[in-house]
This record gives sequence, structure tokens and C-alpha cells, in this order.
Amino acid sequence: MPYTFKKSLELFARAARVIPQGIPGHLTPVITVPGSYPYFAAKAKGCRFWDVDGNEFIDYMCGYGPMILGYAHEKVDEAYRKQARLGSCTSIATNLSVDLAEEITKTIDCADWVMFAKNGADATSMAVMLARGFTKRDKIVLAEEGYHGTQPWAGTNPVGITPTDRADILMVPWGDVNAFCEVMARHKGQVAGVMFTPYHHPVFADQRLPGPSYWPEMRRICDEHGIVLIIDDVRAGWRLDLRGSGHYFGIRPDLACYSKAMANGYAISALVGSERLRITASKAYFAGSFWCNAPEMAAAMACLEEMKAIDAPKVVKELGETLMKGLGERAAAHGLKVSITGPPAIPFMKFANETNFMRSQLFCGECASRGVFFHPHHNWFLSTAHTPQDIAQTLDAADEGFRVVKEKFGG
Amino acid sequence: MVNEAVLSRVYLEAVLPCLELLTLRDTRASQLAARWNGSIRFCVGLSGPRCTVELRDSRATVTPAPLPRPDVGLFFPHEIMLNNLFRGKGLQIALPWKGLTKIKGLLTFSKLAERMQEVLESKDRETLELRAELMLGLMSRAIAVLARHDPDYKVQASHLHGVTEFRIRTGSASHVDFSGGTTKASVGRASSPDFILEFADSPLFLDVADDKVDVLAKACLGEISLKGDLHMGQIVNIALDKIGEYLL
Repeated sequence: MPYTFKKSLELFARAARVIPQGIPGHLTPVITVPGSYPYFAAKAKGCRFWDVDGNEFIDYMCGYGPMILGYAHEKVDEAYRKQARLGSCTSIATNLSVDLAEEITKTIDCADWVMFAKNGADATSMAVMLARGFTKRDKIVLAEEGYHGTQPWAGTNPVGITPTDRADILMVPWGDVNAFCEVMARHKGQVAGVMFTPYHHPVFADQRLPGPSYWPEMRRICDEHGIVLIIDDVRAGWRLDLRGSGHYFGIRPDLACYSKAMANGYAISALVGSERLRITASKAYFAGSFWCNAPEMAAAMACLEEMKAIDAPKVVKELGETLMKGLGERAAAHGLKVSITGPPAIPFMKFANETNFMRSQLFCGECASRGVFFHPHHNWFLSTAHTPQDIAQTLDAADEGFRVVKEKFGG
Repeated sequence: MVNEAVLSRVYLEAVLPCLELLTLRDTRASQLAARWNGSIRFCVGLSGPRCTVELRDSRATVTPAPLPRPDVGLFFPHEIMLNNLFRGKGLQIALPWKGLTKIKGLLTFSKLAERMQEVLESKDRETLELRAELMLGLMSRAIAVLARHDPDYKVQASHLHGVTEFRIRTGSASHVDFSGGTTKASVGRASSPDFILEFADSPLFLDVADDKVDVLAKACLGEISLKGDLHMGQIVNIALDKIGEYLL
């Protein structure tokens, strides 16, 4: 049966009347051709979701990262439910904040302490404030095309950001040590911190891994200038190495930000830090009404336990390698050139001979109509719930997608 | 924030060229244009933008290049004075360095400008298609002006390489070419656009131009189609918002 999206479109018509954009933010279906992609999910289990029209998809976005163990994971969900029955949003903290902080400091190698919040943006904003508080300097260096949330200093929002919001933000190309040194020289004694992702995962472009000398060199420069080195590990965290992506790439940051896969879909984030920033952190006031919710912490505990038990990074790496290899082979068999970049657990594929993503959009639309959910310009995610059979089914759908691209574009 | 120097270019390079299509398609405008044959040259400062409007046989031609012998020459010592002329408020000093006696030409131009404003602001169904076509051209030309001259937008546009096309599903189109080192705007479809913003019909496009539409919602409903390089689309969208600020 060909996929249809009648109910998605009907629901969207209602949404558009009461919600600006209908579906705002990164979940917007605007990247798709209406009628070829689902808009609203009805349920999800493992690596699959079903939309409101009953169409089934193997999902390679995993909720844009959080679903590392797969949707509706029984152990994690039961831990959440059990704690929720004991009460949520209590007026005082619970033992779980201590248990989880202890577990994280044992797991992530740069974590001497932990502060909890809800979203990745909370953690990155806390990191910026701590870097400034620690150094008594103003400026923060970020990478061009990097993403650290939608808060004004991060600069991604097209609405309502003033030049003042970004006055102390300096931008450099990711991976360019010389450019970073030039900025250091121009703003000597003014830079509080540098926040980069562990590897470069921009949208609309290939992903880039650091060379072997990159992070050691960055560490050296930061130490030389007394700058706080922050790794935004929100997107990549837990998928490359449970000890942190810093560990994976051989770097020990001063601060690191986590969220997404931390609780397999439950809202929690963490800023972890090294000993030398502990006192500054102790003076800060960071809080939110829901930041100490115990059920999410219980979910995070269960998620961490499961990720360790099954060695989640190894599982998603192997699955990703199979997917990347298979996609490359299928594309080549059709005479198509694709560029597949990033770590296998968080891969991204684009067509090598285009910059406008028209082939990618067609390919992803064709795959969606065959039950495989890819994104045309954002990196993908593997979960431990994907199986070799899911990958094989995916590659068959991709094969058809490549055939259609070949027919339409010729190469 | 509106940069007056950029705004003067928007008026001369994006708005005034609308007179060409207006006198071609609008009977009232062509009747007005028929009243005078001659040319008016606009100069802003010593090194600012220049533009010549030539009226001949009831048609207007607008060119940035100087005509050897314009019939009327208007010199604006500062861009704000030209901008005030178009805004219809504030100090509007133009030094007529040539053709002071050719009042008829200036009056004709003034009437034509009024007619253009009337059409651009009209809600009549009869002028709807023309208004849409005028706005499509104006939009592309204004984007090109911003990409060449607006200090902030110039930086953003410098990362773009390719062609953005705006089109109305059943009607006209315009496009902006960011790929040639200098950004150029043209009317009509592009041969191989990298980003296409397509509107279901003219009323929808005009509502978008008037900033009355939730574009992302309409895109998801299929009434607006965004295809191709969406990153380019994001950068172009910044220009569209800026045009609104400039021409409010």
C-alpha cells in the first residue's frame, strides 16, 4: 500500500490555526515535500515510529538524538513510571540527584561535579556563565555553523536578537587552530571561554572529524591563555564513548554539556566540570522549576545502566558502519556519488555533486514513502534498537531511492 | 536598522525600475507617461547611486547608466533627501542642475510615482496580478541591492553561491543570482535554480509580501513550496525581512 498522509495534513491544518508554524522548531516538516513525509507521530517502539495515518517508519533521527536505546524502552520507562508514582517536582531535592551525579562523575572522565537542568541549551548557557565567572572576562569563542541552542547568545534565532546579545561572541571556523590563535591575539586577556562541539556537525554540510593534533593543540592554547575549554557534547554525547566525546577524541575539557541521549527521551541535561571550576559553580544561581524532577533522573540512571550493560557506543558504531557501507555501495551501483561523513553512530549522507540538496530531498522523500525516515540536511542517529535486519530493509528502500534520483538527475 | 545610503539604492535600483512594467501593463500609467518624452537623471551625492528614468512613447525605461544628455537632472546632496522624496516626508532638497524649466517632465514623473504607489498599495482584484508581478521584481532587485550594499547582509550573502527563484505557480517569476561575484536580479524563471520559493497564487504571494502569512505553516500545507538549498532560503528570508524594514 503506498503511504498517504491525509490525517497528518488534516491535523496540521488545525495546528496552523493555533500554533505559529504549526510545528515549530527543528521538528518542522518544512524540509519535506508535503504529501511525502509524515507530520505527526501516533506511537513509537524500538527504532520505529508510526504516524497518525498508520504508516510505519524505521527512524534514523531518533528524536534528533535522545533515543539511543530506542523508543518506549521498557527498563527506562519503568524506572520513570516507578519514580513518577512516588511524586514529581517535589519541593525539596531527592536522593536521585545525588545518585545520578555520583554515577555521572564515575562515568564521564572530565566530570568532577555535575549540575542538572532540562535541555542542552540550559547546560550550554550555564557553561558560558561559569566560564565568564571563573575568568572574569567577557568574550566567548564559538565555531561558525555550530549549534548550541536557540538562546540569544548562540545566535541561531532569526528573530529578536540584538547586536548587544552577541557583542561578546567571537566566531572562528571549526577546526582552524590558526584562526583561533588570531582571535586570541586580537582579544588578548578578554576571552573567557571557547565552546566547540567535539567534532563539527553542521547542517547542510559534511561532518568533519578532528585531526589527531587538533584537540591537544586547542587544550594547549586554552591553558596558555587561561581560557575555559568547553565541549558541547549535547548531540554526540553517549554515542561515541560513555566517558564522553572528549575522551573519545583524547581531550579533557574544563566543562562539558550533556543532554539528548542522557535519559533516552526524558527531559534532562547536565553540565559537568573539572575541579578548578567547582568553587565558581558553587557561587552561581542556576535553577528551573523542573530541573530537579526525580522521574527524569530515574530514567537517566536506568539509561546509563543499560548503556553500560550493552556497551551502547559499540553497538551503534557497528550498526552505523553497516549502514554507511551499504549506502555507499548501493549509491555506487547506480553510478551516484555520495559523501558519507561523521562517526558511524551519527552519520550523514549527501550527494557529492550537489550543493542545493535537491537530490537529497528527493532521495529522503522516496525513502520515506518506503518506510525509512532520513533527514536531507541534518545528521542522522543510530540507536541500539536498530537491528541488522532493519539496516537491510533500509538499504533496500535506499536502493529504490537512489534509482529514482538517478532517473531524475542522471547522476 | 535602516541604512539611509542602502535605502537610496533600494529606491533607485529596486523601486524605480517598477515603472517599466507599470507603463507597459497599466493603462493609466502609460497614459501618464505619454504626456512627456524625455529623461530625468537622479544623482545622490558625489559618489552615490545614479539612475535615469526615460519616458518615451508612453513607456518608461530605467537604467543605472547615465544618458549623455538627460533633459532633467536632480542632484540630492545627501541620500536622506532622496529617501525623503520617496517617503513623502521630511526635508526633500533636490538641486535641479539641469532642465529647471522642464516642469512638465517633473510633474509627469511625480504623477507616475503616485500611480505606482497606488498600484502597489491597491487591494483591487483588477490590479492584483500586476501588483504581484511588480512586487516579484522589486523583491529580487531589493535583495540584490542588500547583498551588494547592506553592511550586515553583504557578509551573509557572500556565503551564497547559486540562484534563488521566486515564482507564482500559475504566473510570473523573478530570480536572484548570487553566484557571479556580484549579486544580480532578473525577472522570469532561472534556468537552473538552487532554491525555489513557489507560491500557490498571487493573493498568497502578496499576503506574504505584506508580512501577513505564517510562511512555514503554509509551506507544510502545500500552499507554498520551498525546494532545494534551504540554507540559501534562510539567508534570503533574512533579506526579505530587511526589505520590509527598509520600505515600511
